[in-house]
Amino acid sequence: MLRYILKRLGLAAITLFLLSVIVFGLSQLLPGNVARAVLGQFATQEAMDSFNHQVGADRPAIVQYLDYMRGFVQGDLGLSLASEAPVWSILEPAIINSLKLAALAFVIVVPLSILGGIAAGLRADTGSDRSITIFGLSMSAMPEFVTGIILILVFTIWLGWLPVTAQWDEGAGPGTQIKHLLLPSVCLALVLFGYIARITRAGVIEAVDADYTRTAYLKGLPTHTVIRRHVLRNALLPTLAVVATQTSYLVGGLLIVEQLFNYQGIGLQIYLSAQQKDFTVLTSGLLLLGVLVLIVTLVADIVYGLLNPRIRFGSAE
Amino acid sequence: MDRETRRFLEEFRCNQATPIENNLIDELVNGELDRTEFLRRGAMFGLSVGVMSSALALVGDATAAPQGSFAGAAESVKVGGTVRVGLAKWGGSLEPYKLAEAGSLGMSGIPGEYLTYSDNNNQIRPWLAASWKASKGATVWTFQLRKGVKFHNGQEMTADDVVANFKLYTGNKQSQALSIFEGILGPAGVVKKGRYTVEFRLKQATGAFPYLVSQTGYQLIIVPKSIKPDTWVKSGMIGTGPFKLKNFTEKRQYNLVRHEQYWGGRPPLDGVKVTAYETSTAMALALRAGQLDIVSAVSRLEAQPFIGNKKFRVLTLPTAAHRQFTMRADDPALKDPRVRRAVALTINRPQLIEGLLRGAATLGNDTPFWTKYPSAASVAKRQRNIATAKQLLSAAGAQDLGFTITTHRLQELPDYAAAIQRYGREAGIDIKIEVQSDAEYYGGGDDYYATTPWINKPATITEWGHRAVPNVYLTAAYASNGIWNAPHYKNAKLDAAIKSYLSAVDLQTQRKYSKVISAITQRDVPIVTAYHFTSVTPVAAKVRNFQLESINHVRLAKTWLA
Amino acid sequence: MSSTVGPDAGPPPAAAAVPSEARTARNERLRLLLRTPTVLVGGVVLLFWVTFAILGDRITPYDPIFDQGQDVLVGPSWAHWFGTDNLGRDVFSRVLAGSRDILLVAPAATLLGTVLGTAFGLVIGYFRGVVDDVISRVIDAVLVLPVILTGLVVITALGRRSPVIVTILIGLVFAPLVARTVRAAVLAEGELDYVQAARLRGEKAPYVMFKEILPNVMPPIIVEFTVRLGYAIFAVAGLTFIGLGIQPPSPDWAVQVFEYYASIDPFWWATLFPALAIASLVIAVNLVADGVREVYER
Repeated sequence: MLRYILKRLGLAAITLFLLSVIVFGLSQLLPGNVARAVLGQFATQEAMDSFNHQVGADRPAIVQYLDYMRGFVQGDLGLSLASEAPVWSILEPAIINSLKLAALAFVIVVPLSILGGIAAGLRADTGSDRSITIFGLSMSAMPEFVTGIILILVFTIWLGWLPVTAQWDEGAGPGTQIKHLLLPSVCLALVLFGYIARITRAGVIEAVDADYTRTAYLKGLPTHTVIRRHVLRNALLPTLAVVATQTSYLVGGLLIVEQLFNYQGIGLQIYLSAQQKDFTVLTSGLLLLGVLVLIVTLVADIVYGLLNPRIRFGSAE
Repeated sequence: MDRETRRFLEEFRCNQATPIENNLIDELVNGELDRTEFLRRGAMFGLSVGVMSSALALVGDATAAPQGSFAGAAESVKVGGTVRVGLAKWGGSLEPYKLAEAGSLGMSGIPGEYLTYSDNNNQIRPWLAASWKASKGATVWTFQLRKGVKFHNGQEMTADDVVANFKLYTGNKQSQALSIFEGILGPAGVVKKGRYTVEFRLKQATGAFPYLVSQTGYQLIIVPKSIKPDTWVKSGMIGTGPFKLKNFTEKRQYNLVRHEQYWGGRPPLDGVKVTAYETSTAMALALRAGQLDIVSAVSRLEAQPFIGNKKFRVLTLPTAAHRQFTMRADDPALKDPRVRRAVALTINRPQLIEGLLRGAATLGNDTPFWTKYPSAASVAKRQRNIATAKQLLSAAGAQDLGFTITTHRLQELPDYAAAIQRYGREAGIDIKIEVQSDAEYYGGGDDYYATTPWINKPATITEWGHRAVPNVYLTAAYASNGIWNAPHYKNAKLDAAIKSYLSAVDLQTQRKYSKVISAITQRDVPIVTAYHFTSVTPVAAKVRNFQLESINHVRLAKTWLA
Repeated sequence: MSSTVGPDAGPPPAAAAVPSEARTARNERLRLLLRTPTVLVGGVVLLFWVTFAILGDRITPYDPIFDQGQDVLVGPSWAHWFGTDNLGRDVFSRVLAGSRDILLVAPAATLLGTVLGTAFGLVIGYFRGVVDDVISRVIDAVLVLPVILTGLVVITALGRRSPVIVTILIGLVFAPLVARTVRAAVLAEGELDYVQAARLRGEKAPYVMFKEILPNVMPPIIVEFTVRLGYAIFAVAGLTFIGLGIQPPSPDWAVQVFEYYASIDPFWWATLFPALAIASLVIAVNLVADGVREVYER
């Protein structure tokens, strides 16, 4: 088990390094002028040259990369090119926001979709199974910006139950924050519900057919115990794997939803910095997002390892 | 008219009035100017209220000249409360000399104020400058500052501050205000003449100078000279405005409180809470849900659900903002002016205004002059005429005309292109549409002005904001050496007329040259201007004494909440 | 996600022998597919959209681009079943004509991704060792970031928004995912006899990979293709919505949703119908993909 964890850590580190090179290369692709994007279409040539020199955007790429990595490792992410603020002060709240939203969406969707998947799997090919599957399928097929705006219309404008944007005042308590995050979380939950439920359902069907389940029944164990002890655990494994793969979407892929709910998440922040050719924020944003996803994946991998007896008790991987 | 007034007026005319001012009064007396125009011009040239009403009395008009711009309404004002304002998110800086976006200019314009104010009738009024005079044929302008204006930090505003500010605005290489003063004013021309007197020595005669330093030159906020450039936000956005910054979360939320010593009188509101919104959609939704009271601007479609809703008032304001549909005068397919005129004649302008813009626009006639500019001479209305268009095309040998319109994805621009495409088809013109991203459309290589698409493609559609006077449109888009002259149209006669227009000081002359300019542009059509926007913006019904501003400033000095 | 390619996937095509057996197996699968109700439903819907993508404005009630009428933003009525948009164009016609762009870009992107991914997967699965380790790590690195974000940054970086760029981009992003699946399948195949036999015969690596192994890993590749197609449609719609790829005034569905979703109240028809069209296409593709997967993984 320990070897498993260490190996995973090592792989993650290599991946991170490669990611930094890719990300930096990407941000260097941004052609033309940082100055033009930041100062606007009506700026003069002199203004732009002066600005470019001021922020060091006229140095060779390798120099900028090394400089940047040195800073990153030490925790100094430099200053944003578009505004004069430190990059970390822009990214930190964005990351925290994205984590909060992802966490709430997670908390909502995982139990519901697992229950749905189990219900569907146990009643495979019946009316309830069909309904759950079709519901999940349709919801995940609808673009999230459409479900989002319908949710807003119904729950905030017409019913007035929930706040319209996911933005709360400084110092608001967790209750208020959750209230503000509820709609975007539901929006995301709808997208993922079908996907997770289907995997769970498949896992349940497979587990129900398996030998060990039949053995358990024959041993005279009651249904719910069988489900709890055998089916559930084995259905959870693929579910966990799938959830881990959705992390990058949940944390960083939400910029449309973030725009709609006026929520300053990391996806939106990266989008904005790409538009403004704000190298420093863009590079750090992408890298930090990568770090986050790698950490979550690592944790998921470890939990997977704990749950999967084949890995826990050591066998060739 | 009593003898006192007559004597007062004559004294003024003999001893104090400049040639410009005398000329103005002459025009009034001769009937060349009506009352409204006289008041407008008089205010622009700094005639005092007393002089103006005397002059009006001279011609038998007994009503007094209007009050200053900040008088409150007569109803019983309720004091207290915090108004919640939504602005479009900005990416750049709030630093005055760097302002370039709608959201940031709106934000900085709350604690910050300007020398003069161009009101919604295009009349220029005193603000931080109490009065002004022009001399030497409008090349030297002397501004008297208002006395006793206190900044948020308690300091008094004096000429030192104004001079320091304007030297920065006209001199710093990164100043976004450079384009306003190009060839007109440099830092050396800003001179202190007294504790409250500033002199602007212009490089060329500019009759409309007071308009240039109004809030439509939105970078020109007056701040204490002790605040170094790029530290304005950090030091608390110190200005002279009715509200001062209390605290903020960068680019998200800004909380302001009443400036008790505001020169215009104690503002009714306790404070202002400004929130930045990613999209106008999110902002419109927030207004509808009652989480905002005021929004800076939403699209015409987004304003629809507010119309007829008792909880809101929908305000409208015609502006000069427009779209320039340009055709390059040196492109092989488009170089014949008859071809361009034909294209202009295919467009069904009333249908566009009614349909695409849902009535929120005023007619444009392919001239740089918005019909509501006082200096706009009356011109022939452009009417759609397919038959004439076809004739022109065959006369020019261009029966199978085809070209591509390049624009970018902003509001109704792509749909406008689609409409032009369809209109052109009726005259046998084959138009293709290319929609680029903002970055591509406004991007460019090393030689920016020679490579950027919006200035160089054969046909483009670009958005232009409201200006209080057409000066920038003329010098940048229509003049032969204009830096934003997308049609690459060069005409010496037009240049001469533009120059004469810009230096003209009296309305007659301005109108004369406006007519010359319009005749040329309507004939040669370097730029098609089919409509000018009317801003349609909802506001919560409980907000009183609030009006729309032509460039989305939010002015709250006398606003109160019912 | 692993495929169950094993002894029952069909006879090993050693030296291209027994073609008729392979064909029979394929026909059998096709027949099974066509009998599955979900596949039929999905297939019909797909066929519907493909027909309109090809015939486009020739069979729509109004011209989706040029019929700009007086009735602007009017709700559904007998004359206009789905109402009109802000230039008075018929929304029903535009929805019908809007399938073209997405049905060009999404399958092309998926195909590109599948081809590239298969090539990579074959190479790293066959050679294993260092090649496998290095390329797998690079694939991991690329997959860390969400598709839409990578897509967005690259497209913003390049500044240009043509559908071609979107196609290539999505193809490139999908390739690693396909490569992973193919790699797993190839690793399993590599143990089998016929591969060893081929190697012993002295066949070169490309021959072994493409002529011997590839036909045997086709089933998971086909499954992968159909699954990815659904995601591709989603990705293209999302990217178009934020402004990359197809531009207005095209009747493309995502473009229409983008133009009108902010004014869904009161102009709901201009957003809802294109959105439902997107959903119907995604669901149809998913239904077909499900059927294909079931048949191939039997």
